[in-house]
Order: sequence, then C-alpha cells, then structure tokens
Amino acid sequence: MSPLIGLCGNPNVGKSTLFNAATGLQQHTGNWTGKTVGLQTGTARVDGRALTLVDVPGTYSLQPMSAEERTAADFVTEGRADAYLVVLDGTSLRRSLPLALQIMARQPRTALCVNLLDEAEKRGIRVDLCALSAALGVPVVGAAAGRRRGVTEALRAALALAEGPAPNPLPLSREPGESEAEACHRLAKGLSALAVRRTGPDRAAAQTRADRLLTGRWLGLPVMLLLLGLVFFLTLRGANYPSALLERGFALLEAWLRRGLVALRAPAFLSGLLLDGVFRVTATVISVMLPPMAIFFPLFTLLEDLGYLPRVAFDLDRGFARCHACGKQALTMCMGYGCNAVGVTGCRIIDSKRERLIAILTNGVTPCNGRFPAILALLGVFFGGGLLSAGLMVGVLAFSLGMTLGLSWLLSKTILRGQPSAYTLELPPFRMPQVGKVLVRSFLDRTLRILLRAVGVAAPCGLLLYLLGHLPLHGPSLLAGLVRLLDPAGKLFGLDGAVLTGFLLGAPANEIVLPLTLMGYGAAGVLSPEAAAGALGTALLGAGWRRGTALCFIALSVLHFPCATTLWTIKKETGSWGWTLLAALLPTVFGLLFCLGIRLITTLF
Amino acid sequence: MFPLSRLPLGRRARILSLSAADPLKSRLMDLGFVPGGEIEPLYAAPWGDPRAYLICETVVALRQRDATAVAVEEA
Repeated sequence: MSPLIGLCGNPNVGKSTLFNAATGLQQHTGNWTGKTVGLQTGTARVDGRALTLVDVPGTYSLQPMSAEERTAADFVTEGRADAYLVVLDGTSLRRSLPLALQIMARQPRTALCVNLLDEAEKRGIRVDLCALSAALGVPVVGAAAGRRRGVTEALRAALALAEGPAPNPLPLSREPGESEAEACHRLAKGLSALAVRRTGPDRAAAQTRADRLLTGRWLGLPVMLLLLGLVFFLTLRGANYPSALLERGFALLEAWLRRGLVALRAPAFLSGLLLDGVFRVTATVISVMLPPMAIFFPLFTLLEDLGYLPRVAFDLDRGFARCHACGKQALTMCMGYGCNAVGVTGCRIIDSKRERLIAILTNGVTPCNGRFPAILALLGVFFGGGLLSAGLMVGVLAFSLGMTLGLSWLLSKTILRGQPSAYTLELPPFRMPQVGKVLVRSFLDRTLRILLRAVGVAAPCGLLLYLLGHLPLHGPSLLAGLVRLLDPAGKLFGLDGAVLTGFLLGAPANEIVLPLTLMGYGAAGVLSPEAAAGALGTALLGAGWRRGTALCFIALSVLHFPCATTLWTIKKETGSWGWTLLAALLPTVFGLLFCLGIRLITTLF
Repeated sequence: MFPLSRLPLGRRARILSLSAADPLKSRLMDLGFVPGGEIEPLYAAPWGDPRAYLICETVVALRQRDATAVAVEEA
C-alpha cells in the first residue's frame, strides 16, 4: 500500500492546483471558496515511489461550520492519512497559520508547504521559510504550484514524515482562559511577525481600483450583465457555423451507415431502430450541444479563473439578504449555469441548513447548459441572430435571477422561515488565467464529460422514442396518442401537445426537449433532419409557432422540473423525497403560470 | 470605540473586541478578526451592503448587520 498523504489548507490557497500538478489529474480548480467538494484522491510519484494524495476541502479551522468543512475536520481528527501536508498562503501567513497549528497539535506527522510564493513576491512579501521551520520544528517547503515549483519537494517532505518515526506533537501553549482558537491566533501573529518581511508597498492598489469599478454603485450590475451578455453573444454567434457543419457530417455518416445496413439485408424495423432512433437522436444532441458548449464553457471558465464569480456573489448579496437567503447562493447559481446537478452539490458550501435547502430547491431555476442551446436557437430563429437576441438572452438571465430571488423569498416566508445567518465572503485577488490551460481543461473536464453523459442518455432515449413512435405497428402510434392527449392542456398554456410531450419525455436530459417536440409534430418516432439548428425555423413555423409560442417555451424551459440527474442529486443531498418533489413541483407550477400570462398578453395584443 | 459598520471607507482602524455569538465569532476569528488587528473598509457593493474589508492582507466581505458586532477604534 502506498502512503496516504492528506492535502489540507484554507480555501483558495492553491491546494487543488498543487494536487493537479502532483497527480496530473485534471480536477477543475477555481479561484473561489468551496470549489473542492468531497474528497478527491489521486496518485503521485516522487523519486520513483508512488503515494496517494487526498485533496481535502478547504477549511479555516477544525471546528467545522458547514457540511463540507466537517468532511475536512473529520479527515484530520480521525488521523486517516499517514502524513499531512498543510498548504499555506504565502501572501497571508497570518491567516493560514492557525489551521496549520491546529492540525499540527493533533497530527505530529505534518509538513507545511508555503504556496503562492510567486504572488507574494509580486506583492512585495518575503517569507523566511527557515525561520518558520526552526520555530515550529516541522519541515517547511516553499512552492508556487501554478508554476510547478516546489511540488516535488513538498511531496518528498510529506513522504519522509509518513515513513519516518513520529515526531513529538507541537505543544500548544495556552494562556489561562484562552480557547484553542485564540491561542492559535496569538501564535500565528507572532510567527508571521517572525517570518514575514515586507520588501515593497503595502497592498495591491490596482486590485482595489479594479474592484471598486467592478462592484461599484453605478457600474457593478451593468458590468456584470454586460460580461454575461458578451459571453452569450459570442456563444450565439459562434455556434451556428460549426453546428451546421456537424449536422452535414452526421447526415453523410447516416447515409453511409444506411447503405451498409441495406447491403447486410437488415430488416427495415431494425435499421429504423438503429439509424432513425438511436443514431439520429444522438447525432442531433451532439450537433446542437457541442458547439455552444465548446464556446460557452471556456469563456465561463476564464471568468471563473480570473476570480470574477465571488464579485458576482458580492454584488448580488443584498438581494439574497433581502430574501433571507445566503449570498453564497449566487455562487451555486453560477455553477447551475453549467449543470444544475453540480450546482446542487455545490450548495454544501452554505453553512446554514435552512439557507442550503433554499439554494438547492431554487437551483433548477437557473437555466443549465442543457437548456441554453434550445433557448439560444429559438431566440435566433424568432428574433434574429443579432443584438435583439443577445439582449433577450440577458433578459432570460434576469428573469431566472428574478425567479431565483422570488422563489427564495417565497420559501423563506413560508416553509423555510428564519433569519439570514451570519455571512462572510472572501474576495480573492484577481489571478491571470492561464488561457491555454483553460481551453484544454474546460473542454476535457466539462464539455466532453457533459457531452458523454448526454449521449449516454440520448441513445437509449432514441431507442425508446422510436418504439413509442412505431408501436403498435398498426394504427396511430403511442407517441401520436400522447401528443393528442396533451394537446388541450398545451393549448391552454400557449403551447401544444408536442411541446408538453417533449418536456415530459425529455426528463432524462433537457437537451433533447426541443428535438423531441419536433418529433412530436411528425409523430413518427423519427427525428426529422430539421431537428438540428439549420431548418428549425421552417419546421416550427410550419407547426404554427409564433413569437409568443417561443417565449412560452423559453419560460417553461427556465421554469420546470429539473432533469432526472439533478432530481436524483437533490434526493441524495437532502435525503428526502418530500424536498425532491417540491423541487420538481415549485418551478413547474410557476412556469405554467408564466406561460398562461404570456398567452393572455400575446392574445390581447 | 464604535462598530465596524460605521467606519468610513478608506479609513484604518484597530479591532478592539468581538461581541458576536459563537458561530459568527469563531468564523470572524478564523478570518483574522482578532483584537489588535488592523482593518480598513475598501469598497461597498452596489447597495452599500455588504462591504469589503482589508484584513491580514486579504479582502473579506461582511454584511453591515454582522459588522456591528466588531468594535474598533481609529488607528
């Protein structure tokens, strides 16, 4: 068995970066608190020896306040690792040392790694590693994990501790009446005075200037909307061409496969099932989803790595405070833009149980990546591909934000009543993202993973749909029956039976709702070639869609039950079917109400 | 001696005591809000609340409501 090394530290000190540099694993790192959820394990090699590295979620102390911090505290106090490597922030030793001291008091096999030394140097801070090591009697290694400096040395130090004899634990000298935390803070102050030298100006003035601009009274919100609007505009504009290209490629491949099946004398039902069912649904999902994701995720990751997301939480906090919710909900909401299941898991960063439930129940209102392509495509078809669409897209975002706040308020006034709990938010310095790395990583980590999951869902769905569309063999199909059954209800809400069928059958994955709707119009159990972005408009206009219909669809897309994966995650996180059911019902009821409203308004004018 | 929430932006002060109850008190201490520490409000969110403070070389945001629990004196 290879030795187990626990990687601990405050949030945002570069633990995950060090973990990735050491293990070669592509865990996504973000410049904000709470990025690491749960324990991540990887294997690293030092001097030809293997060791297992555990990335423990960031925490400030061993007295945990959130579920996530409890994971970290338990890992240390139960002594599950052979040695601990505590990562410290070289720019703020004063802040990182108390946790290190607490860990050292419990686990004598602890080494320290002072990270972010490159950033410290830039800010005119020099850390005397030898003085620190001498004062504490433990190995201290300097590192700049982002540049892969000091990573091996740190691992080597931890490995030596794991295999050597146990050193004496650090005696924590307490003054009378002092708690452990207070003693650690007093010691940390003395140690940082001993080991930290200022060689330059006191603080990054430019940082503050940028922050005043980005969070200011007049510019904060416009800048935020503008940045998000820009991201969506680029996605909208950039995705069309590659989508069409993919579509054409898949059509060629399909024709080629069809010839192959004919040559093999496959029965018509089988080739229909495989090509018209499985292949076409999968191909549509890929060509509609891949290009927007490949553009959206890198852009979003750039904002994330830059450190902009905590500023969003800072700007929006007042709104969440008014709704008696936690400002960190803005962060989990941002995660929801990528994937609601990820957002729901991310709610672990919220300390108070009540506020965490609010964040979980409202996360589905944030349109995830599976819903964006359809919304973007519909806006493009019905409102043109230009500024009007981008503006409307920002409107959709504002709508989802408003609904998040509104539903949070509603919950905190009814079943989840309570005062907002205390709230502290770190605003880490802006860090220049490593653009090349971001491109590769966001593609591998997010785009490909989500795409694979979607394909995994789409292929069996295609099979099921083909069967629904073709059984029974004589007479109208099950699908046509379902569409007809739902039609009156659909019409009531400004939509039709095909759309409702699409939403219902699309429960496994939001990305197939629009293609399913188109299938419903054919009621043939086959995705028509128009399903992909290209001739979408013709198909929808032919089915009687107007601008109002598109708006109703978009409203329902934002406000309806979360996808199956997200619901399953909610069940796991809350441990209750009741909350899961509520998470599904709450947005659906409001979505249908909005559709009703839109229909009334559009019929009036 | 006055509450941190009343310290104007850009003015430095020294922390005297924390009157918060425990979950908030220990979290504040974790973040470096300890008696004797220096603190400066840097900027505020669009509605004036929360505000961002420079403490221990890092920037931490606090709601005004919570900042009343920190007593400071002008440095």
